[in-house]
Amino acid sequence: MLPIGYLVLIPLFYVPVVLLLVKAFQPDNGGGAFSAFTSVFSEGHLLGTIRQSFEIAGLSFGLMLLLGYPLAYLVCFKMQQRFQLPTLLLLVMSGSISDIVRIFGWYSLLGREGVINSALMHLGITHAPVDGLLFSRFAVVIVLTSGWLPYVVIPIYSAMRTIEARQLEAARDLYSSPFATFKNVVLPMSTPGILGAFIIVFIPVLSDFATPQLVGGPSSLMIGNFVSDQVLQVGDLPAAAAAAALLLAMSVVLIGVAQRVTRKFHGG
Amino acid sequence: MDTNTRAHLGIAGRLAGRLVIALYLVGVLALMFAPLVVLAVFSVNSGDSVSLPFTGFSLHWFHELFHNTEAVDAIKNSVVVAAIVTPASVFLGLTSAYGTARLTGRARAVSLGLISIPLVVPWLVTGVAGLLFFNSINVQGSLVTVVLMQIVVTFPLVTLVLYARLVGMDPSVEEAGLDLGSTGVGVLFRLVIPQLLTPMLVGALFAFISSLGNFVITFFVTGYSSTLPIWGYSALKHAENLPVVNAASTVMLGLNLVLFLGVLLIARRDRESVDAWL
Repeated sequence: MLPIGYLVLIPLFYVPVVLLLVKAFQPDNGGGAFSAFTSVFSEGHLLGTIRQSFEIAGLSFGLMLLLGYPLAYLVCFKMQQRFQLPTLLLLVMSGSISDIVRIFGWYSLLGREGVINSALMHLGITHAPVDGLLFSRFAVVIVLTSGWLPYVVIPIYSAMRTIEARQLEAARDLYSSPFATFKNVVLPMSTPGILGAFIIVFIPVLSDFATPQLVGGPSSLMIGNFVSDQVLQVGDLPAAAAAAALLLAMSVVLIGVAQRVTRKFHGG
Repeated sequence: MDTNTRAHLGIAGRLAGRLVIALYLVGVLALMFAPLVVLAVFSVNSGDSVSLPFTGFSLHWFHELFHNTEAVDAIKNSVVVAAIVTPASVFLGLTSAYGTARLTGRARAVSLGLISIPLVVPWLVTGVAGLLFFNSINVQGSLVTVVLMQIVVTFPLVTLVLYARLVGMDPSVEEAGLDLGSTGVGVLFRLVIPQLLTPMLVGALFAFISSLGNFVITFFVTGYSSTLPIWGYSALKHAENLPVVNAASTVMLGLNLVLFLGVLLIARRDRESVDAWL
């Protein structure tokens, strides 16, 4: 029995992706194969948008690691076994809520009349609502982090779980300080989890468009916004295809680098 | 420094450490859960705007929600789409996992690769590619195209999870079945599926959850119909009906909680099936 899934994947995934690439490289009005690319770069401020996308995705992923790594550590090593799975499921639950639903929650928290501003004013810390909580790069980073943090915690937790108690005991028996144990045992063994998190999280965050569109300001538009604008507002499909193809190429490179680094850690 | 002071300092240090960890946990949990809690709390607030002060308990906005045909249709569409995507993903996941597990060597690796690629390609790319494809064959975006494209990104994950379970199973049982004259399909139905029921059920729950929350792919191929995330997106963009969006979001939140409660109940009996998704 051949995997029937190919009957779905070939016509609805592989053919469309090839079509997208063909569209991106289609010579337009007598231009060369790269005419769609040269036009998106000359007109669309695409370079700046790409740089912004990497800055936002990098800041968000950095914040997720900073917050998520200790959480994975606490759940894996400091929490009773029987509470670990329910805790992780609760995290996945919060992450699986639609971005749109979560963004709406953040509107209520960060808006001019939102919970945070009303609380600040009620406590007399500020007299007027603080602007820039919403519709700013800050808001984009916070909202992205809030939604994707669980998917950073989970792979790091899974990698940490492969560390056996006796490895930690061995380190302690050899008079390794807690910090040295962390540096020499826990960190290297959880690095594949960090790289896994990078693949699962960084690429979707890099290509997000709903969050910057709904909670971002003018300096937080990302590649995804360019693509969706070209499709829905401008109607320039070759430009959309070219930008999407660029995003695809960047993802391939990022995954390749992450896999190469992972292999290094497995001593391969 | 005498031993007494040192001991006090040690206790103080440990307390400070505890305090830092507690503050950190409160912050991290708030980051993930505060927006969801706020939604639920304000959905029962009687006031006209989604902001403090809390003016009193009322189910007024749910009443509004159920009289808003657009919102009700969007919720219905979301559930209908998920109800089709789920069994389709489990069926395709099971057959693809079984088919792949029976391959050997390079063919198996290629098959796994082909099935995994849609999981790492950005959904934005898949969505735009789907849109271009349907345009090129003159198919209007609709719930049908939404179902098809959601299946494309949902069933590969079910496949990988079931595949991992299948290769961990004892092959001699299957061989015995074949030796006793059963066909491949017979073995699948009588020997393999009974062992995979729980992982399939967990896969179904996760497929349903993923379909309900899908925005990116749905956005590009939905045409004029809307699921709840799509309707919520346009309402937020135009700042309309915000309290109704809030009530609708709370309904989705409730649905998600129920589905996860299902996963949690299964996890208590068969942890391995749930672990595979983490």
